Amino acid sequence: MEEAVAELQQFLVPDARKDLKSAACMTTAQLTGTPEGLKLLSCRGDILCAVVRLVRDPETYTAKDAMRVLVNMSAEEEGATALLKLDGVEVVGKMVELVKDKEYAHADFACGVLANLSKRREHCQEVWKRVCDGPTKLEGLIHILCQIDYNKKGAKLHLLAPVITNFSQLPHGRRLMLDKESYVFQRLIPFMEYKESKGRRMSVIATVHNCCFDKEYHPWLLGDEVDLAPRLALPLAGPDTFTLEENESLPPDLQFLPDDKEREQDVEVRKLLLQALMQLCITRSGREVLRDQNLYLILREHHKWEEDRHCIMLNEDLVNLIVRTEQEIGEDDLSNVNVPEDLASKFVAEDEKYLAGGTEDLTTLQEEDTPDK
Amino acid sequence: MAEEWKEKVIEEKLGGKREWTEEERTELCHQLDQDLEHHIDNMTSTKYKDGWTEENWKEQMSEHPLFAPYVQEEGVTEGEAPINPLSEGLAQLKFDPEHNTPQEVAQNYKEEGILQFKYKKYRLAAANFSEGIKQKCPDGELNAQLYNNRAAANSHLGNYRSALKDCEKAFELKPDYMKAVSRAVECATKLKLWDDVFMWCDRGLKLDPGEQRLKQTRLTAVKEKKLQERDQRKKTQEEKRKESDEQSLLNTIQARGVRLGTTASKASMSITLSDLEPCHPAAQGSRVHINECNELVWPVMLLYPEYQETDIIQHFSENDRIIDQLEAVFGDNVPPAPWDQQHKYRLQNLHVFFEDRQRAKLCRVDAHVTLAQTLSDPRYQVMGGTPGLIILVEGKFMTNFMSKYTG
Repeated sequence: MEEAVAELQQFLVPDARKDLKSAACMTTAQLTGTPEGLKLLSCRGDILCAVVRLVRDPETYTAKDAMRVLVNMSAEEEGATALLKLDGVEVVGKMVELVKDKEYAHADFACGVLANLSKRREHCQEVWKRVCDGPTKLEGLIHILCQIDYNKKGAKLHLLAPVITNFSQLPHGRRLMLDKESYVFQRLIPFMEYKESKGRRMSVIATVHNCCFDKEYHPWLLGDEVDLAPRLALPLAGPDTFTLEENESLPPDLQFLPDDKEREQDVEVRKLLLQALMQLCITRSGREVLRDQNLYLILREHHKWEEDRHCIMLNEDLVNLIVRTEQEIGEDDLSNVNVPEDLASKFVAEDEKYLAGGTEDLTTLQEEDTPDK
Repeated sequence: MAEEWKEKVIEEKLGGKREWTEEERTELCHQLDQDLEHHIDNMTSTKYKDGWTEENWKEQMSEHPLFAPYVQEEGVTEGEAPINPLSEGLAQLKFDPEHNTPQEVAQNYKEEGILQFKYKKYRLAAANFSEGIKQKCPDGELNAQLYNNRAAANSHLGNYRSALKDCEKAFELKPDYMKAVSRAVECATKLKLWDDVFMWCDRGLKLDPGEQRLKQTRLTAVKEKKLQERDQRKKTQEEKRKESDEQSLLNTIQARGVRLGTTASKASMSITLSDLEPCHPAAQGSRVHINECNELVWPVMLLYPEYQETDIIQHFSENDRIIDQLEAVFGDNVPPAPWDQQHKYRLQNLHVFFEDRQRAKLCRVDAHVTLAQTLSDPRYQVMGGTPGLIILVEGKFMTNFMSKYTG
């Protein structure tokens, strides 16, 4: 196979005869479909560089196959490492350039490559660094993501969202995203209800969820400029069943919801939403905001509708914090509470038993849920 | 024309001579200078009498082509002031395409418009900018300014939609035109087109990411949009509720077996809300409705054919007995009606009927039954959403009246 691969190289150049170039690209793409082929290509930086140089080939099939190679390579750890190590071309910068190009027809593939490359922890930092060093930067990518119909050749760029999510796992990434001076984070929020693409919606919610883990940003997230809490509750809300007074006690986002309002269908996404709301309840001021906004009403109705055990549990934990008075809770900042080892493992065991369909009696869970000091 | 004039001068004044040496030219100039001085010396000096005086300067100024457009008489509205023929002439020269390039003309219109703008003559200003745009001169920057300026003028006139369109054109021609962006944001805000506000704020923030005012505007717009959407949802909900209530009312009426008659003939059998609108002025605003106990409450008309009088009971619950309601009108404690001269109409004397329109019969009603029972009588038809009951007392009139109906 090695000789065959070596032969390929001569045809993987922009000046090669069209049909040979196309065939060579296709063959390379097929190679990436097999583990041996992938392994082989990972050692051939020269071929990979050649492929990268063909992504803008005027022949559609050639360019598409070149992109396919990169997508498949980046999906595997070995391939990703190889791509990032390339000498002749800077693959991250190239992909960003393709995404930025409104007229590039295969931009969705480019997003896919970036998503794959940034997925693994060990690579994410490197990809992040290269994006920040480039001209577009995080802000540019988010701007592009948030513009519907940015790409004029039909690419939807939904896969750009998981790239952002991957970056949100880095503290530097979150810090840039949550910049109070610019208008970046707020652009993501409308996509939390984006019906057209489940992948985009999930990734955006995951990004928001990750950003809720930085306590120091809670006042800003819960404040006027972002007003995140009602938007986290909205996918959990169903059609309006409240009285006029109850409606008026809710934030405008949650008032008078139409009869055809659907709750988020995906269990994992609902978990993320509930966990994010939980995070916002870590501090006293956060809990007070959620109380003031009367989100309890939404959670109450959600509890009646929810069937997944894990989500029900998260809902109840959340309601627990909202419904109790501050005096009962006793602690301003719950992240400061130290739960002793033995109790911690006991709680985890109780949770697992419940999740496995164990006890239906939730009162025992409630009473012992209060952490000792 | 200039050419002809030149030829004429050469022929007449210079004797047709075309070739001149340097010395000959100098000699000629010198000669002409001398002639002029000679001429001036021979002029008699007169007192300067045509200048502006203390008394007439205002009038003179308003007629002078250079100043006329900017001095308006009091009470004259813009556009009605007589145009000074001299200023028209000047204007024609400035804007004449024969003497100027499209760019120069456009530039002149722009300046003219700006001047008008300064004097708050916004309609005139806009007209000038429009003329400038019509020149279709090749200068993109100038055209962008013309569009933006016209947008400003229109904005002051309250024509926010036109202004917004002009801002779009200006921005198209000049993608870094911050002024156009600011103006567009202002107009879109006035029109409450929040999505447009978002778009323009984003355009501005792209040009200048640190622009705090734009950011604030965008945040405000986000809030306004939320409120707008909320209001829309609330309205939709209220309309739906109203519709559902109305349907429920119609269903209940049909369920009770009440027949509604309409004055117009109808092809379909189903009843609509319009069939329930009371025609009688006294019953206006008392349309039949369902109360908290789930009972129908009707406006009922009592007719007294003997005296050609009527009464309206505005809230007659279907489960009330007729006699109980009549007691409130004719009971012992109630004084007789003003038309009841002979005091005959007392509760115990009353006979209650309704008219069977279809068979032209008079049907007797037992006053001890409820309204519901009466209305569900197959012969009973409710007209104009207002059930009627005929009240008579024993006597010549009643006998007469009853005989008019068959059987």
